[in-house]
Amino acid sequence: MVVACPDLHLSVGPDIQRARRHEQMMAVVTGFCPDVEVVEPGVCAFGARGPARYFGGETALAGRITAALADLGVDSRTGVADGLFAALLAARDGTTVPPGGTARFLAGQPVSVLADRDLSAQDLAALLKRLGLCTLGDFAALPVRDVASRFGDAGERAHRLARGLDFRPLVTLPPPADLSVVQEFDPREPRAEPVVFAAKALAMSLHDGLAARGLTCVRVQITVTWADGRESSRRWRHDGLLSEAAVADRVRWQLDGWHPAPGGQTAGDENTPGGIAALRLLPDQVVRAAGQQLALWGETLVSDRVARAAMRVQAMLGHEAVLRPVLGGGRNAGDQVTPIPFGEKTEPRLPADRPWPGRVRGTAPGLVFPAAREADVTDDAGRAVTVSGRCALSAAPARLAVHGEPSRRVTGWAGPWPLYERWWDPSAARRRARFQLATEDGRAWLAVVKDGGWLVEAGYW
Amino acid sequence: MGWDNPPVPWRELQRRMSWGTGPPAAERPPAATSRLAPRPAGTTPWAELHCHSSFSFLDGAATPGELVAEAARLGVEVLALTDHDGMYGVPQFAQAAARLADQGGTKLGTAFGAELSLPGPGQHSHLLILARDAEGYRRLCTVISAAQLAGGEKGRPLYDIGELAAAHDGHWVVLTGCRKGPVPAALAAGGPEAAWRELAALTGMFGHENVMVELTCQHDPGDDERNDMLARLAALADLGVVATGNVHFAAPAQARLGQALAAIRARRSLADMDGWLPAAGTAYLRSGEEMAARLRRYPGVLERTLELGRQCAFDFRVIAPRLPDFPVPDGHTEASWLRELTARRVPARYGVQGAERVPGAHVQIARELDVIERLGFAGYFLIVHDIVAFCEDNDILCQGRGSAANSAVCFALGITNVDPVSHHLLFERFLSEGRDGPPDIDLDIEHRRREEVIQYVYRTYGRDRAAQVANVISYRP
Repeated sequence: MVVACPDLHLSVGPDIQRARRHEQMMAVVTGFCPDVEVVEPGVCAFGARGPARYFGGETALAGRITAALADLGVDSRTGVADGLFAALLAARDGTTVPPGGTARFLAGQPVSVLADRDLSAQDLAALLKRLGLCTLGDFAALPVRDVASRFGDAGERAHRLARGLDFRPLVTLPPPADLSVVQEFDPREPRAEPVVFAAKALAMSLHDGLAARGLTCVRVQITVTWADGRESSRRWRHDGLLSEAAVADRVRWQLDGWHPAPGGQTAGDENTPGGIAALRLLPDQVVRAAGQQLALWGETLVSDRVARAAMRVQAMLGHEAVLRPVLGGGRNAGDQVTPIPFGEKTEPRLPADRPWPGRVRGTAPGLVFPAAREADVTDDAGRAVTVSGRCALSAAPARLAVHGEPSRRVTGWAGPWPLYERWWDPSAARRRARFQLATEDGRAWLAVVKDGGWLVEAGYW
Repeated sequence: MGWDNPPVPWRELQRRMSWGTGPPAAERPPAATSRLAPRPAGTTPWAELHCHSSFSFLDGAATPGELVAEAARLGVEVLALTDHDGMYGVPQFAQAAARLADQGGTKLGTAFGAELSLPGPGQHSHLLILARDAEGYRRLCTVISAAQLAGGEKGRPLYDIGELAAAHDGHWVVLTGCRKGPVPAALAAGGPEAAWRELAALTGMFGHENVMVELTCQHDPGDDERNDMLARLAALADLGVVATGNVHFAAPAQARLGQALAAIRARRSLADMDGWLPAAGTAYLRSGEEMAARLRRYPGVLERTLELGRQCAFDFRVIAPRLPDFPVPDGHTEASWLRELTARRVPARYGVQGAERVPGAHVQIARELDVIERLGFAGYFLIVHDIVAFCEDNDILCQGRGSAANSAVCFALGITNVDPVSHHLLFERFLSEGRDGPPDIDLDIEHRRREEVIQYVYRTYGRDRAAQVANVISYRP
């Protein structure tokens, strides 16, 4: 639920009175729900499900908040929807969007609302309008890939909003609080060395705790608390690869950084009054532990560097951005390789330990086209070569013309090898006749006849 | 109380009770071929020598009748039925082919064989045996019966390789078989040297002139490579080469049924079975033209296959079984012994000649005995009488029923207990010279002691000559 007070929001510039009014407003709203996020001055948001249940529904809750603010002399509107963006829009005219209705609510909004809170989206909104996309619904209907490639990051962000999603995808699990480990020092420890030593044991219990849940962390946050309450907190890249000693090293570096005396000497001077009171290790960005993984290249285990680089790219571009090919079963060149996100230990789509009768044997094609390419295969007289239901060939293939490429003379061919797979599942059924064709330029092709037309699926070069 | 049902066959009854009054099911053309127009005559002749019917349980998908009809449509000249470890499909196969000829259709030559499952390391290895003639068929049946008995479990025949080698005596042709045959399996697993060793073992057992290398053409990507190698091995060994389609169903339309059966056999769902199923159902019957196109690569193979098919084809009627001889006392033939036994027992039933209690009884018995003797069924009556006598001696309830009750000889011998003469029953309903095939005398035997009678029959005639028979039951969807 979003509560917006337009007169607080719209006025520009610092104003002590307005700031005080804002604080009063926040006090009122937190009276209804303690966990309130300030979106901007005069606008706040909170998860409404719990409080709404307590106060007898969203409408009742909204009415109470509005009434309480009106007592303060603040004019306010509330909006309820799934997601912050939609709730903000709903708050403009005090709407309550029923659960699940957000997509429909957003679909009716003009694209100009994208620019309401994000000035950088003004150009985008104007452009969309010129393109004839007048509502968010029109925009949301576009495939996300196309939007991303045409309008870039900002476009994708706007597209997410239009679809009722949050600003950016949530990539991590929130670390459960009990995964952090703390060592308190009583009496306070004035020297760095014992702290570093304790860090080793602490790192071990951190790792045990994570491993027990099948997790690992991308970073570890090391927090050192001094007796006077000051803290030094720093995040270190972990990726599940740091040993206990390596964590201890980082504690040492952190203490050294805080107290720039070389060699980890006594920390009991004026910079660290009273010595160190506590050391806390907090796993940051907890992810599922994938264990040891096979190499991207070659058969050996992934070296730390490759794994780290791959996970870094995944962290930046998403889990699906780094894929590893896994050899599986299946009768087609395209089926036999399953791309699996790096770090996952998934089985190939089709199990490899089966005979798969009728698969094309011999050397695997070097090139499998992502989408089969249309082609024409003709006989000596220039007529298209066809295959009957009983695998009778109309004539020997003489020429292969892959669309967009010059026609090639066929110097050798084998087939037809019919394939009629998974006919029991109409969505996965596949019926075609396969051929290998060799052409005059020394290339060989894996071609199929499907629904009477020729397609080239792979090439042997 | 009496029963007054007209003699209506079950098929007719079923038809009358079904909706509509269409022709009986058996007269409808098989589904696999109904949509296709008959092929004009003058096609390339072809002989299919490796063909499984639905009597290769959960393997073949077409009934022998469907295979025969499709073979006729395609202009196939000879079709060999080679089911797994048995001849169960042969009667239907022979009948369908005979009916085809009776209806003036193309004459389809019938050849008979079996694919034997030999124990091998790991998987069973398959050996395809074709009977060259009726004697070969008998010998094949003998070894299969022995193996089925030796296996001691249904569907688990246990062949003795040495006995197989000793049993053929030139009446069999052995083909190297499908991918589970010893030679192709060795080729796939161990390369040409291993295949060569297997081939040498086969020729050693069955003789050089009785082993043929089989090329299988199923439009599989591996076909050409394997067939090339097999053909080369055959040339090196100077063996004949034939081609087959390793047929498992009549037409492409039955391919799905075949795959579903394979999944049922493996007790998996079709989706789980995907990695083992053939890529496409290509194990259908092919015409001479289709095979000629496939075999262009191997000159002479089509002709050699056809030649072998013609050699092996014979009419199933020549191997009609003969009943075992019944042991009779010296100086008697089966017919005279039957007359003797009947004469001994007639007075108890009808009184002595001249003082018969039922007029015409002796005349009727004499007439029946003449017919029985002319038709050569005296031994059969003796066998049944022997079984009934065993039951009487051992106090086992036993009663002949059915059409045998029309026979005064049966009544006299004690097989039945209703006097057909005084009830004016018609002997010709039971046995007449106008009808061929042996008569059948049904005996009902007290169920709790039936096993004793069965064991007596086994003891008397031998386990390899007496068998329990079963009906082929089919369900209509």
